[in-house]
Amino acid sequence: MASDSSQPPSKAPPDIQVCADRSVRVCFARDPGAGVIGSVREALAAPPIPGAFEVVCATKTVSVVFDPLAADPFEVLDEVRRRVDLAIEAPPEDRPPREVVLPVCYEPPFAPDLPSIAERTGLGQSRLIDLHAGAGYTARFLGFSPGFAYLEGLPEALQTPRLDCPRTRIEPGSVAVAGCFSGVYPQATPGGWRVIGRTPLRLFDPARQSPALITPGDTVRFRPIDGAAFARLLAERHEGGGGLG
Amino acid sequence: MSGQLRILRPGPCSLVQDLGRQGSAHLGVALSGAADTLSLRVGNRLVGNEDNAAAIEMTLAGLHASFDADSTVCLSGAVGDAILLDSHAKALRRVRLLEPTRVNAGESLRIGPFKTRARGYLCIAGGVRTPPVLGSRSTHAASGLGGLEGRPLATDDLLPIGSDAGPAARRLAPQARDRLLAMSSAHELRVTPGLHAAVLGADAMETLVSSVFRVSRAADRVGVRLEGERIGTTDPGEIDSEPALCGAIQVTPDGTPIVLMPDGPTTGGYPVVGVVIGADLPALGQLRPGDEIRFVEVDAHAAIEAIRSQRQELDTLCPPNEPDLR
Repeated sequence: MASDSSQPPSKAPPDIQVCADRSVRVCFARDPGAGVIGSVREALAAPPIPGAFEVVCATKTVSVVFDPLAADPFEVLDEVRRRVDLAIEAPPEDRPPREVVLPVCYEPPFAPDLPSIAERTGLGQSRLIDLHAGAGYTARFLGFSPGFAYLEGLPEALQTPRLDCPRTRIEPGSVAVAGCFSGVYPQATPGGWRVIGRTPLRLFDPARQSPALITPGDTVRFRPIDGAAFARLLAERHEGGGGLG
Repeated sequence: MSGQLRILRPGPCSLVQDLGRQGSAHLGVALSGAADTLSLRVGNRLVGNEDNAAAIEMTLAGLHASFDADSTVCLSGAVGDAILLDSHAKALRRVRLLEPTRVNAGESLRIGPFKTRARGYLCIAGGVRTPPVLGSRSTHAASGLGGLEGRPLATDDLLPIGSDAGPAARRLAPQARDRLLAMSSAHELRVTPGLHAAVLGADAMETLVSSVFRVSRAADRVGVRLEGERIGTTDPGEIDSEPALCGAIQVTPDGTPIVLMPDGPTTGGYPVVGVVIGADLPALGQLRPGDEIRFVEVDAHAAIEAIRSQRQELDTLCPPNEPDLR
């Protein structure tokens, strides 16, 4: 694994293997980008592979999970190989990604970790807010909890390690950063990411036609709002009005 | 006639569970569902339900609940004393595992601490009828999805239960009952190799299968932390997050193995040394803190053969019911 010449180019075909008795994993040696992962994910999800019930992606991998009593793993493997070959050969569809814009209040008490990031980087809080809200993000995958999207595109100044000691409760809607990702906590959960703002929108609602506000491949932007706008949007949401979910 | 179950005492952790929430993992939604699906299937079959009917999963000890309508119930999984009481709390009779029991309106069922295994199932004819969320009634407590308000049951909760007008309850032959009781109680779990041997070092699997591990107190529906030998020679650190499977044995940076359970995350950033085979997931779901376990390596072909023969045996001993439309 040591020599540079062994590093395959990003176009190299992925490694595809049966994992346990119920999954086939497609793994690229390096991140091939959201476009390629998206094509592979879509090719594996529709039409559904008989017996398969999940197609889950991350940055380098896409996995198909199936019922080993409903499908033979090695037949699923062949079908995955066939579809991945086609997806990688086909020219990427020139289809603009869905854009999701999240209003975010970066003011206290919603931004407990903004001061410490400002101190660490030597940049003012308003500069950090401009950077965070000025960037365009790509939702690479969902994980951790229902509706939690890993958003790629975080400006370097905002890239910080997780908290040494995770908080036991993060409020729903909290906008946070960790490593090279930004994310928004959909539910009240424990969490170790640094919180820099809050959105009044509901990120995940199983009763909606599309439960997750952000889905893999979406483009995401943040729009700064003040405390009054936050309160108004939250009240509108609780009245059940509008399409804000 | 359908009715309600009133929770008089919930026990340490009682949750509505069916076979799980499939098809939403790409949205970060965990599978959830019964930790011991074999016991859920058997209990449901014996009261005339389809396999996926929702039941109450109880952990380490049972609940006490009263019925406001006549019903048929069956207990499966972990073993504890269970007594049927009349409306004056006078003991009527014992309820044995895997023996469908008539319950009259006004009576209550009291289930004590489990003596062996971790999880017991109270299956009720017609099933627990809380509203399905994303296609399943299973509770995912960490995110508040499904079940009753997305949480463990509490005193005075009222649970809607179905009618028992479906197929009649069945009795098992004694040998079939004994065999079914033994089905999800292994302390030797078969695993296929994980796909991160390059990160963990070649001897990681060797360590996994040559050691005895103890289930720690940090064992819940999200993950089971194991005590014993450390896995991997050097700190493997974290890998790029990957889709995670229930039954995957993740290795933390200090070498501790954690087996992911049905409520575990849909993606994970720790390398995986092995994956518990489908046939042994029910036994994994029955492990208690302090249990000593071993792992045995098998290949995918053996894993497939194991789950096929297990289901065949289950269907022979206790055939499934047709899906109901109630």
